[in-house]
Amino acid sequence: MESRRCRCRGGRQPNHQPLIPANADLHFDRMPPLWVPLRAFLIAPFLGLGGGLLLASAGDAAFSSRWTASLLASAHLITLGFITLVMIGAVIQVLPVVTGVPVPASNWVAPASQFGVALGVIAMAWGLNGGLPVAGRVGAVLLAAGLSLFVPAALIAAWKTRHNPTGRAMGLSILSLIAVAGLGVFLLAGHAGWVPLRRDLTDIHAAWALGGWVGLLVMGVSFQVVPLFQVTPSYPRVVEKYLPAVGFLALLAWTAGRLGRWALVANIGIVSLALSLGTYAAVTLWLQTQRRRKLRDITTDAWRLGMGCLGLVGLATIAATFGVLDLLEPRTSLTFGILLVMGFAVSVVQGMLYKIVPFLSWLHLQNVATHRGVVGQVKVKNMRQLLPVKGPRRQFASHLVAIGALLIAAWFGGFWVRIAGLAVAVDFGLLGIEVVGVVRRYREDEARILSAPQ
Amino acid sequence: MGEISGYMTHEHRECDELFAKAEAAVDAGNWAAADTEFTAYDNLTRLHLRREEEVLFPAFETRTGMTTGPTAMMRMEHNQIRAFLVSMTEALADRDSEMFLGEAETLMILTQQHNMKEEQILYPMTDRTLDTDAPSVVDQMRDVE
Repeated sequence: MESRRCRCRGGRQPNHQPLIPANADLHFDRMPPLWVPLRAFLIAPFLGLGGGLLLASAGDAAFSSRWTASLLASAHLITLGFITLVMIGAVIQVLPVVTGVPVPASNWVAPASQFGVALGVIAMAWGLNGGLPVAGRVGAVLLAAGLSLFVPAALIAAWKTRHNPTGRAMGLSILSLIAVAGLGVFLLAGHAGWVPLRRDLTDIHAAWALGGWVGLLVMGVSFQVVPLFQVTPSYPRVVEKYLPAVGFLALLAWTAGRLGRWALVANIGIVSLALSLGTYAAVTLWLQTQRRRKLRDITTDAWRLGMGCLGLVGLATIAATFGVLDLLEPRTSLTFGILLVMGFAVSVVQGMLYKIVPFLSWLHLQNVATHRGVVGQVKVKNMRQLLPVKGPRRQFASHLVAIGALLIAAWFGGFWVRIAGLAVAVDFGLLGIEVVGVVRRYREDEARILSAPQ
Repeated sequence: MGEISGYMTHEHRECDELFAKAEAAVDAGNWAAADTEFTAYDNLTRLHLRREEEVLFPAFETRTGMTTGPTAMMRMEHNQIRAFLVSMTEALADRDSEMFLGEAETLMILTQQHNMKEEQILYPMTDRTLDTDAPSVVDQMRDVE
């Protein structure tokens, strides 16, 4: 590969910027093999489906408070099994393409950590839901092992790309994941009876998980994928540069305030976090109003829903801080969690998958054709042929139904909880079918290209 | 924004606008408008690619000595973009909206990531390396027909 050092003649360097930056050549040639991210994208929806089925089987008892074992198990199948698994795949995919720095040893780190997390969350859910401490212990060990493979590798890559806003936000989100995992394993050890169960740490665990790990990662990824996939203008520089850091520092301040019982510090921290995530949601919605394409687009719809829910969650957080809303009340806290997990995080992850899975598949098919030497002779399937639009539309409708059913269940309980669980299972099941469909069509097209005469 | 960045980024936006109009016309089944808008998009896109390949890239390559770096990658992607223009022209002639819109969606993402690389990395690099020659390079690009 051509040296990336400056070899120019006679140019000046305003503001001491290098004439040719270190990331001058980009980077789709450095993307990992298709199966590295795709494996996570394939498994993840079915873990979410498991979360829905578990909720359906537990019924009304699951929603009696936010502390029930079946609700915790179901929620983690969605947050860890679906969201985190996809996010690990996305980090391993996006970092090398955007910044040119691959996650070290991603070819074995990725599958090992993905299987660790997937098996770990199944064991953990089994342990929590079935009251089987041994399964919970196995889950804790597998999760800790899976994440301890991924975190150092991803941190090394993120550190090398700290000058890029996406790399920096990803680094902060991976630091958040350390806090999430540490607290989570400690809480799980409490559930398994190894250490005293410190329920007071649960809010801190959840805030770092959804505000830090998921929130900051979505921010970092969106700086690239919103303009790319939704054809909007770029995020304002000031947002890219400062917002993730503000969110991270706000989380630190809130945590210190909570642990040290300094109410003012905690309040300033949580309001700052809500404002930074709310500002991010508002900016994203504003960018979407300036979409250059006129066609209805399911990814844009999913992100609008996600950002709307994130904005509501931000407002609710501020209202709760000023005593207008009681987030300790079970129905309100369930509503808050549903909007944050299913409304925000799951919506944006699903929206991203609608584009990233067919585009990556197309890109790899293009590479297959290039290596085979049949570009121009064989037509590679386009994104709509790999993922026809009807499927995601039907799936998004089922996602809206699932969120609606969950909200009704949070307020009215009873048989609605089972219906909501089934709706969540259908939501993730349809997503899984769509991803499997892309893989099947990819394989057909790959076989066709490889058998084409050269 | 430098002279080259400003001129070329503006042309990217013009291409995007024409693309969006062509795509919307096909989606609405308005084939006459689709023919007009897509022809305008096709012409401007090909002209833009030639401005880069015939003027900007050679100037940059001569100044820096880099012929296998970012410009080689951009040329390869230009060929991918041209392949889409051909298949979309065929889909338009066949009045095959499903094929046209599928190719259009893929081309749009390919183009957006290509444009991001040019706007965020390559054009600022050319503005810095070509320095005081940048205005004359822009003039030469304007003269490409």
